Amino acid sequence: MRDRRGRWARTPGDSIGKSDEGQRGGRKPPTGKDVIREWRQSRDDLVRKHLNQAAAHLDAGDHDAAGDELKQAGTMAQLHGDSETGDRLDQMGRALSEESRANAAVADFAAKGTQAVTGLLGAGHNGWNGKVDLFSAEDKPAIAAALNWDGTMAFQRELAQKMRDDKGGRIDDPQPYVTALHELIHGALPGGRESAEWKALAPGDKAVLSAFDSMDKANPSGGAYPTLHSLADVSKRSPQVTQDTIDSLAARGLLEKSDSTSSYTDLRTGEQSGPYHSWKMTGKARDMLPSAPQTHAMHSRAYQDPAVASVEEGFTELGTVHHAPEFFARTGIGDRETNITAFEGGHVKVSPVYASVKAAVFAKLADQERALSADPRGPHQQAAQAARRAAQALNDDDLPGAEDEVAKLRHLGDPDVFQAAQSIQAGLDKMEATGFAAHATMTEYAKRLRDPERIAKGEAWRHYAWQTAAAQSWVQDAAKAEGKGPKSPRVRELADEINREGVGGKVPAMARQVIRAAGGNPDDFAGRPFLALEDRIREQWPQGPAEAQASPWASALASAQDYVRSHP
Amino acid sequence: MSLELTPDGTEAYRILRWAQEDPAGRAAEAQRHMDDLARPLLHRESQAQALAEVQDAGTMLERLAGTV
Repeated sequence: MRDRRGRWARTPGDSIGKSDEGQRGGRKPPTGKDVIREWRQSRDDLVRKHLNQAAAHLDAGDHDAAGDELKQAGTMAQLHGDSETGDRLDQMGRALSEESRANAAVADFAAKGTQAVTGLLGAGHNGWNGKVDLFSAEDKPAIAAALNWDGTMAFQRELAQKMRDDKGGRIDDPQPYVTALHELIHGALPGGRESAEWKALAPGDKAVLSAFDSMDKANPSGGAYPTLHSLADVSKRSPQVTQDTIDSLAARGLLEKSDSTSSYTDLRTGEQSGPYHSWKMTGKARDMLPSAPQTHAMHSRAYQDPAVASVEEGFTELGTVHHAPEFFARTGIGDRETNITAFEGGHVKVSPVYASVKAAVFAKLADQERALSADPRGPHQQAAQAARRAAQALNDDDLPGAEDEVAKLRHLGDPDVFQAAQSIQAGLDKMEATGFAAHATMTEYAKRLRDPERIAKGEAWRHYAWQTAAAQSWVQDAAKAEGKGPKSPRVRELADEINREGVGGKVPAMARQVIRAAGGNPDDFAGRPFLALEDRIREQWPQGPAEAQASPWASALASAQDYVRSHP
Repeated sequence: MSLELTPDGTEAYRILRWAQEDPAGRAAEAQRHMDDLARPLLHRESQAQALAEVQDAGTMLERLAGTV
């Protein structure tokens, strides 16, 4: 190409390092080495720019954007002729993007699942912090997933990739979804929720009760016991408080007025004030207060006790088995087919597609048999019998047998019969491809697995078999103490009561169940008796498969009954 | 599947119990043993139950290690 003056224009590549200014300014013309150096500098600058941006995105946790930058860096390197570096960067970028999509697949599903788990268990909130950390099975073969104490969900990359590659349709491996449910149940924690009674209070009432709570927390018991506060005390934390508000709360049983009054003397002026009335919060008000959310880390130390760890895993898996059907429904995968045969009324459930095609093929065979029977020619009479035998084989779901007979129709030499036989064969092919048995949906399959007898035998989701059986044994005993059967819905409610607590709260929740069954009030067991009961449960908790059915319920209940009898 | 553990599962829980006796001193070494136990079981359909049991104990160990 020529320029406006008719000179040959330089190619774009030539322009690097060959400025007109340099030549006119009398500088030394660049050598070939200079050109190569500048060219490399330019390439390196561009690649470095994208690498720096990739690093910034990684720091910000945006792996997808980091992957894009790496791929662009690779493209730059390739354009400048360094295909080896370019390929490497491109591969790294693609891997990062794939990793990012796998990570996002788990995080998105778990985000949906968190709401479901909180609702199903009646928990306060979830300790999962919204982050997912993938690891490879080769690096950590001994775990599939774990909820770390900082609330991050560690998840095996290979399982995450199954979620990432899930494009809808049949779910051949439910394990990634069940695993996510198990981890989210680990994350279930109490607190952080407002009771309906608290929500119903007027803002002024809430402000006053919060002021009482705040002052109680500053008392020597750290808020374990309520203390008396005057109107003047309360007004320092809730300036809008009025005597009417206090009286109204007292009238509703939320505050209790003291029998005595207090007077104060200003030590500087000697001036006396009062007498003042004082009030303290009642148990009813304290029960209404929204509790502060706990973190997952708060419970980590408790896990060092082997019995507590077994309780944690057993009840978490029991909750997984109990709630999987509804969890799948709420996360939008409940209606998806699995590759597991469906049963109905104790029999294999026939695939609806198979059944409808079978009916159509059966009708066609009947038509052929009728038409052929009306034709007196010998071969047609034989073909009519073949059609009858094909229908019988079809009735028995003997598809190869039916195909053998249909082949005789095709070979009759009659074009009309041939066409009909082709159509019948196509139907048989479709039946074979569909399969006789219907496939259970995720929800159907999960319902099958939560049969208590399966749980007792370790035949549910294949994990924590003996710990889960032990947990079920405990809540079945607790339900029995309430007059409920081992398969009653109460068993699940009692398990939920325990699963609403974090690791450190589960054994205390079990102790409260025992005290309740003994006819006592858990609040009366404060201190040493309560701790003794917890110790008994921990010490006697099954530590292996052989003890899984030996629930310490009876022993704990006897202990609680002794205490209740001696402290009427 | 039953409540009875496979030989690999039994070994995995033995490693876990050993670590539980001294989490701070033994968890890291126990994790190495647990990984060695689990690795040959990966991707082997016939060893699915053994792998599930080892991963149960391995996950408890992982969480235990996180407490120290």
